[in-house]
Amino acid sequence: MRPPWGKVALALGLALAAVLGIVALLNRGGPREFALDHYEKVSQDGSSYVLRSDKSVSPTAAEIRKAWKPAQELNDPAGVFLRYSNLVVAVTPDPERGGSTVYLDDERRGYNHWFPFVVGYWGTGGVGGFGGGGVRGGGPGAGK
Amino acid sequence: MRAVALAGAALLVVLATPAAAQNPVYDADTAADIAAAFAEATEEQGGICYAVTLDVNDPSGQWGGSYLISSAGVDVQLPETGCTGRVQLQAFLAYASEYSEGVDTASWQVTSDISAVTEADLEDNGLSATSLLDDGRSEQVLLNAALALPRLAAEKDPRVPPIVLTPATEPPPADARATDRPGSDALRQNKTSVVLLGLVAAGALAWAFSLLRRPWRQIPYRSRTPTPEQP
Repeated sequence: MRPPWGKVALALGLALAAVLGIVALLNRGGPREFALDHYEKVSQDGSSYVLRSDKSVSPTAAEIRKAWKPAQELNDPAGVFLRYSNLVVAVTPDPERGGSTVYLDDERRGYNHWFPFVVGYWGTGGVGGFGGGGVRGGGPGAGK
Repeated sequence: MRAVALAGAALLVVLATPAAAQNPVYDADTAADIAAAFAEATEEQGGICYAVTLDVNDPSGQWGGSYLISSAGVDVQLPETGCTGRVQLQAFLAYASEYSEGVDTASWQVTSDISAVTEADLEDNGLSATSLLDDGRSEQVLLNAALALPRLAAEKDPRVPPIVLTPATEPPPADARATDRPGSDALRQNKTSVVLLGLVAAGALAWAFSLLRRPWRQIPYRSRTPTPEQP
């Protein structure tokens, strides 16, 4: 008796389709690509971008959050920080033109840019020793 | 004799009084952070005051209490005068008795006399009151909800000036570094789909394998050459 080659081919095809589906899901861009596709580019410095959204901070952050779930999120009276794998997104009001400004930075540069705001929440270093004041920290994630 | 009775009564009162309740959501550092951010926002937004109250009902007495953070400080009420507007978040936690079949509940509401900020705005920002029951997330959720108030007030009312983030111009200290590296964005976003597709792939491979194995084991081998006739 020969094996049911038709059924075997169907099963292997199903497995292949599922694997291809996984590969497609894991390679469909990311939050950086989403932001660059959806918001107007204002300036670029290496891998850092400044973008402009016509919408205010809440709907802009909600769009990004809905498209790509952040690993961590921090609200501030001045904006929202979304943390991804090697990407920090900061959304803040644009009082001159309306809408909001979206900053994209890689992990290291983003941490340096927004250190006074995110230290103690998703990073460490020199609490209290940073010039210019306004250093917050010691919140969740700071050794609790 | 009377003095001894009074001393005994006083001792009983002391022993019967439960230890001071603990705040189940945030600690003193987080409260100080929120108060400092509120004070900054009040200054930058022309005197609009912010406050968060957390009312906890706990039959065991361990967590119950009312906790307050405002632009005026931790456990300090907003002044009767001097605020050009007020935005307040009131959060309520009710823990069920361990002897009842009830469940823990959490809710919040936002009241404001200067802008139409509501609890729906917090929900739109991905914040949910029920997360206050999640021990691992409650502090971050309350912090995010509190710190969103000045921004939401400015978004909802054009009379309220927005506060703008300004990137740091000075380099951070040498030991500054981000912690807790996030995992793959694609995996986080598509976790359920990837798991389901993985199960489909594994199931399909198992099915194919079983189809290939089954016939060889069950059908006995038969030679095509005729067996010689027995004498």
